[in-house]
Amino acid sequence: MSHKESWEEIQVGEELTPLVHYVTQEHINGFQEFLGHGPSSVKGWMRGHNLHVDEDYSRQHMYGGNVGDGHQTIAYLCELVTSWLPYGALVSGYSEIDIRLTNPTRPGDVITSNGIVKEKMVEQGRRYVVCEVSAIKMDNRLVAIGEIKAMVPDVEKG
Amino acid sequence: MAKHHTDDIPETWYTWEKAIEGDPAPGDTTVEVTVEKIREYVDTEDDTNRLYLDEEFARGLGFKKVASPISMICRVAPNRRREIMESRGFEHPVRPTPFARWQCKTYAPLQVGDVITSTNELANKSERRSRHFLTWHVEAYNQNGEPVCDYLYTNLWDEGKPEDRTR
Repeated sequence: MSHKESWEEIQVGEELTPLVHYVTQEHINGFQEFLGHGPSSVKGWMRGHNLHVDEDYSRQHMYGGNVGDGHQTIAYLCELVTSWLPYGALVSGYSEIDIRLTNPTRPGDVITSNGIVKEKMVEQGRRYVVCEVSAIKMDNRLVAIGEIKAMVPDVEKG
Repeated sequence: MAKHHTDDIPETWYTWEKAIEGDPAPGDTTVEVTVEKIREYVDTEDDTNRLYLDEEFARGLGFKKVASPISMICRVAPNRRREIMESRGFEHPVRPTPFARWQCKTYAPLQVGDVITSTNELANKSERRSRHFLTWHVEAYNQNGEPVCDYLYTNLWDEGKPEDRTR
């Protein structure tokens, strides 16, 4: 994974290094555990009614089977950005994320996240990079699209 | 208007029609940012960004310990829409309500040890392309009362369509 060292070296129009995620039920379950909704951590009403982990429930409903959580798809896009921009970008605050989820991910999907630098700017003394981002399935079906405006801290070490 | 199959919907369900903009979650909720939670994220996503693992490196960039990924926001400042519905005397529909959009602004990093308090309300009802949506608003503050983030979280609130099974 190539990684930018500084805000200055980033060029508008530059493509972020694509990131590939292999969606499995185990992977979906793990993210649900992180959120507190997984098979071993879920409480209350959601037990047995989680579209992401309860196959008997999800098979009866709109997608006909388990699907990944939209939060997990958003995590792919955030990882795309934090892996490419200088360390500290996006996770140091003063940033914005706007993602539309257009199709569900499913176990067995291979999801590729892509991005391009749309704009660079300085606002109130803070340096920003705006990236257009998207995630697609192996058949090029879009699962998410949006924009991430990441604040890039001006200290780069390591 | 989208078809709602209202004859089949239990009276107790919080439907789009029953939702009122400004419906609040009762009180607030508080969750601490911990290294263990960050580690859970790293392990499940295999996102081995050095900032999430190397405390000394992260300190050099102004973090108190390791950095928190953006996904931590929804872990420590959850959308409590079920509580909003229950406070109005309704139940969450027993069917999927697909997550359609997330619009988040951050005002500070989530630091390990931060105790995040969040509030939640129904911000908006909308209709687009004959589909009905509910948008929830969550605001989160740290233990010093400083805003750390707020987000809008939009769900599709209609029944699925036959073509959804192959999407």
